[in-house]
Amino acid sequence: MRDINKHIHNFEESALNLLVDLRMGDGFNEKAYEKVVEMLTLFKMEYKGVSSIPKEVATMMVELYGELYNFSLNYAGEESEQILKAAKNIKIVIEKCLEETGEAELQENQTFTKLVRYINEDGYFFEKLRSGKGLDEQQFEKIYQELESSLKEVHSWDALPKAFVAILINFYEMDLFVYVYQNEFHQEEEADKIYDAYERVFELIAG
Amino acid sequence: MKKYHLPGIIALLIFISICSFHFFQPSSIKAEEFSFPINSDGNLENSYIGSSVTTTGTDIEETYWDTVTDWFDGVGETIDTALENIKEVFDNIVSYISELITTVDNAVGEFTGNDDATDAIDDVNGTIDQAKDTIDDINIDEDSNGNIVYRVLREDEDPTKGIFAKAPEREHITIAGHVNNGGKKNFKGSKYISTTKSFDIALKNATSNIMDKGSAHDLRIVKIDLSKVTNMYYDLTDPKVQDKYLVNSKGEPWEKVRRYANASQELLVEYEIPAAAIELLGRPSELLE
Repeated sequence: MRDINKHIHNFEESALNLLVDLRMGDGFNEKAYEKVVEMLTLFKMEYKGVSSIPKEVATMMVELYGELYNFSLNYAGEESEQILKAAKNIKIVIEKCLEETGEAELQENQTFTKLVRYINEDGYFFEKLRSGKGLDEQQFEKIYQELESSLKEVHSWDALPKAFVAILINFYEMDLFVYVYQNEFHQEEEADKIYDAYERVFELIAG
Repeated sequence: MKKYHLPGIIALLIFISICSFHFFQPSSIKAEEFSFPINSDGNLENSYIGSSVTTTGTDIEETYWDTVTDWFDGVGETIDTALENIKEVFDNIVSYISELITTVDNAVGEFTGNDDATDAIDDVNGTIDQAKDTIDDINIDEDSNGNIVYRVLREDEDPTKGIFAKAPEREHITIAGHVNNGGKKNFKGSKYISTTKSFDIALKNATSNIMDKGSAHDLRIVKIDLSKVTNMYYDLTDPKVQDKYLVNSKGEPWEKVRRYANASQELLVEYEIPAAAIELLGRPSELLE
C-alpha cells in the first residue's frame, strides 16, 4: 500500500514536470517521460484484474495525452515529433492500464447506465466525430446532462471504474478534433462547435 | 612541613637574588655603588663587587661570569634564529600574496581578453555601471510592493490605448480554465489578460514564441503598474488565491494549473488594463542595446 502511494506520487510529479517544462517552452523532459511510462507500466500490473483505479491516477491519465498532443503543436521539427511520439506511447500504455474495462458492468451500474446508452446510440458519439460526421448537438446535450449527473455521483468515490475513465479521456480529447476538422475536413464551423462542446465538458471534468 | 621550610626558602631566594643582581644591571651603572661583605681569607671585609669584577676577580667568579655570558649568548643566538625564521615566514607570505595578485591579474586579463588587469577591472566596472544605468533607464527595479507586472504585447496591441481581453464575452471561462487552456493553439480566449510578475519570463516570451514552435521574435514588453489598474486582478502565485480559484469543478486543489501558474509567475487582470497603468519598455533588441 505504501509502495503504491509512492508510485502514484512519482507518477503525478513526473507527469507535472513533463507538462510544465513543455508549457514553459523548456522542451521535452526525457527523464520525466521515462518515469511516467515506468509508473504507468507498474499500474498496469498493479490494477490488472480490478475494475477501478485510484482517482488521482485516473485524473492524470485523463489529461495526459490531450495536453501532450497540444504541446507538441507548440514545438517544431524533431522536438515536436519526439513529443508526439511520446504522447502516443503514453496513450498506448494508458489504454493497456484500462484494458478489461468492463463496459458491460458499467452499463449495469445505475450511475452510468444512461450515460453509456446515450454515448452508444445512433452509431456511437465519438465514432461520428472521428469519421467527420460532425458534432451531433442533440446527442451531445443528452450526454452532457448524464455526464454531469454521473460526475456528481462519483465525486466522493476514491476510485473510478476503468470504463468510466476511458469515457472521460474521450471527452477530454475532444478539442483535438478541432484540429482535424480545421485542417483535414476543412469545416471551420463544425470545429468551432466541437471546441465549445469541449469547453463545457472540460469545465465539468476539470474546472 | 612546607610551613616550616618556607621562611628558609624565601631567605635563600633573597640571597641568590642579591648575589645575582649585578648581572642584570645596565653597563653604565658603576659596580662600586653596590657593595656587601665578602668573605676573603676568612675575614669579613667590606669590598666592592665592582672592583672584584673589574680589577682582580677570582677564578670562581670568572667561571661563573663566563657561564652566565655564554648562556646569554646562547639565548641571543636562539632569539636571532627565531627572528630569522619569522622573517623567512613573512617573506614567504609576502611572496605568496604577490603570486596570488599576479594570478588574479592574469585571470582577469584572460577573462576579459585584456592583458592589463587594471584596465580590465576598469572595463568590468564600466560595464556594470552601464548595466545599472540601463536598468535605471528602463525602470526594471526590484518591486518591493508587488505592484509591477509585465506583459508581452501582440503586434496588433496598442499600449497607448490600453490592453484588452481577447474574449471579454466568454464569461464562463474560469480562471483555472484560462490557465489550463491558455497555452493551447486552439484557445479562443477569455475575459482575462495574462501578465507575469517576472521580467525574465516576459523577456523569454518576447524573444521566443512558445506558441509557435519556439520561433524567434522580438515583441514589445510593457510594464504594468497594478496600483493604476482599475479592474480586478488575481495573483495566481498567492496560495490564498490558488485555494480559491485554481481548483477543479469540485473545489478540490488542481495541482497541474497551480504548477503552470507558479512556473510562469502568472497574474490575471480582468477585461482591460488602462493606458495610464502601462509603460512601454521596448523590444528585447532595443533593451539589449
